Amino acid sequence: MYMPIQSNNLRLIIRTAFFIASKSIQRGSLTVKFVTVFILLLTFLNLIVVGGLLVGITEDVGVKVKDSLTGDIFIEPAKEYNYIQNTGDIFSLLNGVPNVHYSPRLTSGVSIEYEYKNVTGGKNPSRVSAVIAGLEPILETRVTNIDQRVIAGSFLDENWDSIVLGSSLVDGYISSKTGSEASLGHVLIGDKVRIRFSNNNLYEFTVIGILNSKSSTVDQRAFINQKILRQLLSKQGNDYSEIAVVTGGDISSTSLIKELRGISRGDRNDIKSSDEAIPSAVGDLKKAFRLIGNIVSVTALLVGVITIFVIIYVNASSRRRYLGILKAQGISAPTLILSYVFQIIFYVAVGVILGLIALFVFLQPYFMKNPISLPMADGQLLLTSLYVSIRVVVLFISSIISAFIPAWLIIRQNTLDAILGR
Amino acid sequence: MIKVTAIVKNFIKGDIVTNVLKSIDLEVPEGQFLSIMGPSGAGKSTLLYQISLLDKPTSGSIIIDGIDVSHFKEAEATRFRLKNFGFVFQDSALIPEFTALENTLLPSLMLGDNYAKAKHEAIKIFTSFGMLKQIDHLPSQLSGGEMQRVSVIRAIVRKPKILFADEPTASLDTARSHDLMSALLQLHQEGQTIIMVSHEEEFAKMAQRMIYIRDGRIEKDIILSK
Repeated sequence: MYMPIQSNNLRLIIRTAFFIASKSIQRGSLTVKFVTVFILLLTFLNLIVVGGLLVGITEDVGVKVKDSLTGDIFIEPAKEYNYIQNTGDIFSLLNGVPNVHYSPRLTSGVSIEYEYKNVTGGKNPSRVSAVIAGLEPILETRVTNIDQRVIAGSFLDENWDSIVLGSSLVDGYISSKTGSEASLGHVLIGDKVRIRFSNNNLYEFTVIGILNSKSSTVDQRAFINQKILRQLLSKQGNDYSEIAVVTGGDISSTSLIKELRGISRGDRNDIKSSDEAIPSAVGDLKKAFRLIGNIVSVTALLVGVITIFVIIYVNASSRRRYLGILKAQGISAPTLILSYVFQIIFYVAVGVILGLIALFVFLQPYFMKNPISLPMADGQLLLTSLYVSIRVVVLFISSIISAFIPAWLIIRQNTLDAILGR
Repeated sequence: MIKVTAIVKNFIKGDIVTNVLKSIDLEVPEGQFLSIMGPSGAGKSTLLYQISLLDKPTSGSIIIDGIDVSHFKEAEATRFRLKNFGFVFQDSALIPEFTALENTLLPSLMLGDNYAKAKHEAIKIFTSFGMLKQIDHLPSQLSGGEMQRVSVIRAIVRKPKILFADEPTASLDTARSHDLMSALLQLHQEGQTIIMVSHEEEFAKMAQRMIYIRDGRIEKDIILSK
C-alpha cells in the first residue's frame, strides 16, 4: 500500500524551514551575508538616528523654553488685562506649597540705544526695540537657569544700573545669529546702553552680561532689576506681567494649575503648563521636525526593504532550479518560503544587535558629549525604549514582508518549469 | 500498481498546439524496473513527468495504488511525492551549501523524523553505497559520479514506493554510468519500483522492461527479464 496523504503539520514545516535556513546562513555566500546585514544595519540606524536626533532637538527646544522662561507653570494676564490679577492670592497659594518656587516678572516694551555718545552729524545711534524684563535675581535663579546661560560677563546683580542683554540684541557672541536681525552691534561688557521707556523716561545702564539661552523669546530680552524698572515705569508693587513657577517633590504641576485657576476667578489670568506655554512657532517647529523625522524614517525603511526584496529575489531566482528539485522531493512551498523568512529574521536580528551596539555604545555617548548646536536647541540623540522598540518591530515586520513576497513569487512557480529552467 | 490510461499532453504556445503524448496507456506493477527509451523529442521525459506528478496531463488518468492522482492540486501532489516518490535527475542537483548527508535529510525531516533518526537511516545507505567518507563533503568537493550517487541516496533514503530517474547517466562517463546502473539494479533486486528515462539503449536494456516511445506513442513494449 502507498502511504496515505496527511497534512504536513506546522511543526514539521517550521523545523524543516529552520534546517534549510540555518544551513543557508551557515554556508551561504559571505558577501551576500555581509551586504544583507550591512544594509539592515544602515536601515536600522537610519530609522533611529535621524528621527532620534530630530526628536532630541524638538524636545530640547521645549526644555530650553521651560528652563529659561516658563518653568513648569507660566502665569500671564488674560488678554484684557495688562497685569496679572490677584497676585496676592497667587503668592499666598504658592508660598503655602512646599518645594514650589516662583519668579514674578515685570516686562515692558522699550527702545535700547548704543553708541549714542559717539553719534555726530545727525546720525542715529544703534537702536533696537526689545522687551525689558525686571527680575528679582535671587528668585529667578531658583526658577530658571538663565544665570547659567551667561556667555560673557556675569548675571544680574543687585546694582540698579546693571543690565544683561539677550544674545539676539547684540553681535559678535554667537555664530548662529543672522545678520538680518536688528542689533545694537558688538556691545562689550562694561559698555553703556540707554533705554527709552514707554513713558519717555531715559535711563543709562551698564552692560554686565550677555546671555544666550537658545530660547528666542529670552534671547530677545534685556534684563534689569525689577525695583528700578518699577520705579522708572511708576508701577505699583503688585503689578506683574508674568510669573514662572517650578514645582518639586511630590507636587504635580497639573494639580497646582487647577488650584491656581481656581483662585483666578474665571479667566482673568492665563495659566499654562510649560507645554502649553511654548510659543506657537516653537510648537510648529516641533511638529515640522517630527514630520521630517518620520519622512526620513519611512524613506530609509523603503530603501531598506526594497534592497532586501531585490537580494531575496535575486537569490531565489538564481536558486530556482534547486527550489524546484526540493519541491519535487516533496518539500512544500510554505516550507521553502518560511526558510527565506527565517533567514531574513536572522539577518535583521544581527543588524539590529549591531545597530543597538552602535547606538548605545558609540552614537548616543558621542552626541551627549558633542550635541549638535542649533540656534534654538542642542541636538542630542534621544532614544526611549518605546521609540527604539517600535522601530525594531517595524523593521522586522517590513523585512519579513519584503523577504516573503519575492520568495513567494519564485517558489509558487511551476515545479517542473523551475527544474527545467523554463 | 501504476495505471496510466489514455494520457494526452499538449503544449500550447499562442495558437500553436504541440501534441507530445498521444493517448498513452501503461501499467507498471509494483517492483518493476521500467525503462522508457526513445529519440529526443519523442515524449519520454514528458511521460515520466506526468506519472511522477511534476506535470499535469491534458487529459487521461493516472491511478497509483487505487488513487486517482491526475487531478491533484500542487500542494496535494507535493505531499504525495514526499511520501511515495524518489527522484534522480540528469544532473545531481544537490543543494550547494548542504553537505552530502544534509542533502539527503530533508525529506525525512519533512516527514517527521528527528535529526538523529534521519541521520542514522541516511548513514546506513551511505555505507551501503561506499560513500561514508564523503558524508560531510559539500557537493563542490565531490566528483560527478559521487554527486549522482548522493542524488540516488537522497531519492531512496525514505524508501519511496517509486523511484523516478530522468536520464540519470547523461552527465556521467561510461564507468560511472555503469556504477550508477549497478546501484539501481541492486535497488530493483531489493524490490524497488523504478521508472527510468534513458536515451542510451545499453542502459535502458538493463531494466526489467523497456518501452520505446516515438512521436508520443508507445511503439514497443518489451519484457527484458522476469
